[in-house]
Amino acid sequence: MHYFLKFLETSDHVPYVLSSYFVVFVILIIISVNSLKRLKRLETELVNLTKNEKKK
Amino acid sequence: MNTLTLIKREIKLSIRNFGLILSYSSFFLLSLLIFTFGVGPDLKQLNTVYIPIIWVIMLFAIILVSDNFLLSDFQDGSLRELQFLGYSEESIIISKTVVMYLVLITPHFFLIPIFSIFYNMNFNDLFQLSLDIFIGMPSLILISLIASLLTIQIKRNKVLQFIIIMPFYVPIIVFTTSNYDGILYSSFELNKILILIGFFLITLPITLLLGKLILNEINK
Amino acid sequence: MIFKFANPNKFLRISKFLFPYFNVFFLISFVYGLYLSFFNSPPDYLQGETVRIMYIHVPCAWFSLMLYSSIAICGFFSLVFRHTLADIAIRAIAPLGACFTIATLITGSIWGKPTWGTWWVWDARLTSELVLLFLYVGIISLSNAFESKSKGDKYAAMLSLVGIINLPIIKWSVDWWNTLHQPASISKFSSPSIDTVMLIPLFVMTLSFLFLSLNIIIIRIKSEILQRKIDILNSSKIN
Repeated sequence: MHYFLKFLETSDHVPYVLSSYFVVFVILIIISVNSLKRLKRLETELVNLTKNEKKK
Repeated sequence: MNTLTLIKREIKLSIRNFGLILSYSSFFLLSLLIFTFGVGPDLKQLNTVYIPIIWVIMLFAIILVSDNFLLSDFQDGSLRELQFLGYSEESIIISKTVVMYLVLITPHFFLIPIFSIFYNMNFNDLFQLSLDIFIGMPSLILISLIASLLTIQIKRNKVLQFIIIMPFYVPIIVFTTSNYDGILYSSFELNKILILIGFFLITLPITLLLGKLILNEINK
Repeated sequence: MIFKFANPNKFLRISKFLFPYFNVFFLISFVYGLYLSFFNSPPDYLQGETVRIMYIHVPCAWFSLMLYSSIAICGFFSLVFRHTLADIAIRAIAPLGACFTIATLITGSIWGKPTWGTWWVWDARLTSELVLLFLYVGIISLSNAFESKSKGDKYAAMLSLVGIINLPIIKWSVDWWNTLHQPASISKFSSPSIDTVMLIPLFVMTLSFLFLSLNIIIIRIKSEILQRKIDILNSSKIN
């Protein structure tokens, strides 16, 4: 905790550190959400396709 | 023997296609002119930048020209036919490289003197530049061959070709443009040439291997 | 051994089993790593608090390189043994690697601003990272440029192999370029040995990134397999 309070006190470096963490989070969240969305879309598509096959 | 006949065929084709050399050299000169307008008329300033400019333009020119060697052969089906006739893939690629080198190096016989007038070069610089072009060009051609082979089946492939070439072009442009006042350390010039030859010897087997794989893939 | 597990169906089963564990490991190590890097590590005596960027910048850089080499290994397997899973893995890994490379570049320049005074220095490491990004872009766009997927896979595998052969040469030439053209006044990192207090959060962060990237790769491979199944079903319907 001591280190963290000290870190917050040195105000000129805080935005750099926080923005770099933020950028990495955003990039990783974007790619993971993107991949998850694609997986969901494909799963529903496959289910629909197999349903249609069975109907025939 | 096979390779020789292929080289003869390619030379005949490129002599018939003489406009290619003309367009290559005019592209070269025009883009140099444009760059010179951008940098400004100060000769001192120009002297620091003209060598990288020449090398970058050479890259563009080779990418533009490489279509005439591979793409047209691919489109009229002669690439498939050559393979069908029993020429090995390696010999096809070697012949392409040799003829591309011969065709593209000829304009430099009159382009380099023009550079020397434009940029007020002394004899030493002129000699170094021409030596570098003679030795660095084969590896450049090999790299552009790889790129155009990889993208030969894509329709609008110019940008992709450039993206593929760019990382592999970094070592060549670093060593050809680096330290032109390197005359101070006289061993540097020799080392640079040896390094360029080394690049050629690295890229040659890679290109042959990849070219074989890709040609087999194309003509499946 | 490898071939035993290189079957898409087997992969799906194993990944289904491993996926939740990886998620849990990722969450634990990520939270712990964040705690360590913000609350339990001292500022550097030279760089001050900005050294905290290291805990996220260095793992990104490691992963950008490691994912490229894993792409090249997959390319080797796909070209030599013609494994479809290796083809799929190239497609799955390449965008993730490009993301890590972009993250490395951005955090690097954010770190550079307080330490070097500018956002970008043509330092050897930064420049070779940028070239790596172009290699990734080349692989991604080449694999997506063809109409048939299998062709794009083959060519992307070839390009990745050529890239891994050329990567040391590029790195070396960029180092050379840097020493030739740059005055020595802009010093690079003088890298003294890092204290364990800083090393532990770095490793924990790396571990969490490893689990995260494994998870994302699993998701992407799964969706790629599904995509191929759908393609097969669609083409059988047309016929």
